[in-house]
Amino acid sequence: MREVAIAGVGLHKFGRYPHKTIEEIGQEAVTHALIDAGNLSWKRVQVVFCGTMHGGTAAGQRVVSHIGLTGIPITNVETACASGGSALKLAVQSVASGEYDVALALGIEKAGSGYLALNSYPQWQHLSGLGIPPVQLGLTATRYMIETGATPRHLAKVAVKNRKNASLNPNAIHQKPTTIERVLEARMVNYPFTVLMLASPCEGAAAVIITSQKDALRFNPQPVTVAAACSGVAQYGTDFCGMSSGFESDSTRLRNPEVTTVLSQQAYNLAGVGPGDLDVLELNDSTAASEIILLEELGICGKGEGIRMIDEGKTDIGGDIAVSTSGGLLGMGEPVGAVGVAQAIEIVYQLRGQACSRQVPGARAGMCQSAGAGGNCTVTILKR
Amino acid sequence: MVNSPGQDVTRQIPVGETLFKFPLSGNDTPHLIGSRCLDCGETVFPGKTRCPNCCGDKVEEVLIGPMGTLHSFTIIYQAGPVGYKGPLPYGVVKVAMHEGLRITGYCTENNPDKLVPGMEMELLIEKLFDDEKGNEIIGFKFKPVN
Repeated sequence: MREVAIAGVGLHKFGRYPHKTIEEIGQEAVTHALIDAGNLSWKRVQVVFCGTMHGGTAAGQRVVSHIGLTGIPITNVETACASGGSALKLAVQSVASGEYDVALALGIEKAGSGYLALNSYPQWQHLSGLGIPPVQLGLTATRYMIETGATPRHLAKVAVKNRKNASLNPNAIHQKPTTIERVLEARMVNYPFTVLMLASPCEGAAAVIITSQKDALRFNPQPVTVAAACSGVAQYGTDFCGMSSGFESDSTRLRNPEVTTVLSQQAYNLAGVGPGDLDVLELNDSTAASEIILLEELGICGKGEGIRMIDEGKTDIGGDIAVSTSGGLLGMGEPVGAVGVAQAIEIVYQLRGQACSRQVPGARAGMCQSAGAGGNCTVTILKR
Repeated sequence: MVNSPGQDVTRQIPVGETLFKFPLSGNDTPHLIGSRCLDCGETVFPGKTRCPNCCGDKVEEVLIGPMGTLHSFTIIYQAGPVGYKGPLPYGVVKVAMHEGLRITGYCTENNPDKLVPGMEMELLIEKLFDDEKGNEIIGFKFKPVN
């Protein structure tokens, strides 16, 4: 396997676009990525992986048909909320293996507001009131609060941080900061979450050009190395495996490591960096509680220490490790399939020193983690 | 009651055919139907023909319940777009059953202050809501034991 790098990035701002098609949204992100890769000609792109959950039949092909039909393979990737992360992993693998020299990882989505419509739940679970994503997230959060003493105020602090970061990100759906009081007093969706503690499903697209590390400088003066790209599914005997097919039982006897922990260990080993070397993190903050729990599963801090990191502002821009500088899913928004690719783009901006008012000074290494229904997860480490 | 054809009586429709025994007769206690692996002993619900833990294919049907303890809970204030048409808000709980597995299900209690981790929970098989045709949709629920 050879070393690979991100040589170009492009985004379509996250938001709501009733008058734009998913093809138009995707095309804009791809065009920006080509420009960023030194005005790369589409004719030089050799393979496409497109992450989307609701994009429908031949989604990536429909985007590419507006750019150029050069005959290259285009594969659509669906791993629920980790779809973009999986597309990125496959694009990285396709270049690392030596089969291709220039790959595009694309993520596109037009998700409506409100609950994400997942068809992974069997009918009996819909009828029993279980077929909505925040049910599992609420159960996990409540248990975490019971075990650690975390309070709704801790969750509100995460939401405030991510909305503040989003207000500094011109590509975020939410452009205004909020306050702890406003988060706590917002409409309850499901215990322990108010609407401001939950991700905002929306529309958007993200695209990155992957080349070999050796070629990357020819396209971009500041290529970013992909030090590790890992994917997997929650194994039996974990909390997250209960999401494998709608709701399934989980074991009281077995306690295997959560998939985020397993993949982050793989990624640390591959990249030769530890959690202490990371400057920036983009996490799958489906809820404000997810972010705190993920810090612990990724080994950024010990079990039960996540709330102290939030209390002490260690995850703020300027803290020990800046988390979700893009605003995360809570602030930048959640166009499902685009998220995993957009997370990598935020890390790229940070490592290039192009994150403007949300820049973490001197950032050298960053990680993104995406996860979703089916127990899916991806973890990626990027280095300067 | 389950009606005979032609009778103008409410029908009772279980949410699934293989999840629990319905209708219950006589002295039946409510149970869920799962599967237990004959190799590693893991019990899962809903039942499967292979074991998700050891991948073995020797499994037996097993009855689960009716008692367990509360592991976690959430309260749903905003219903999903499809399926459930019952009252709001409603509780959803994860219950550690005595058979060694945790099951997620509807809860009769919707006040978070009355749900205490570790408390005893009891399985019920009863109406979740009436559908638009007047049928009773029957599901399984958990109820705190007072």
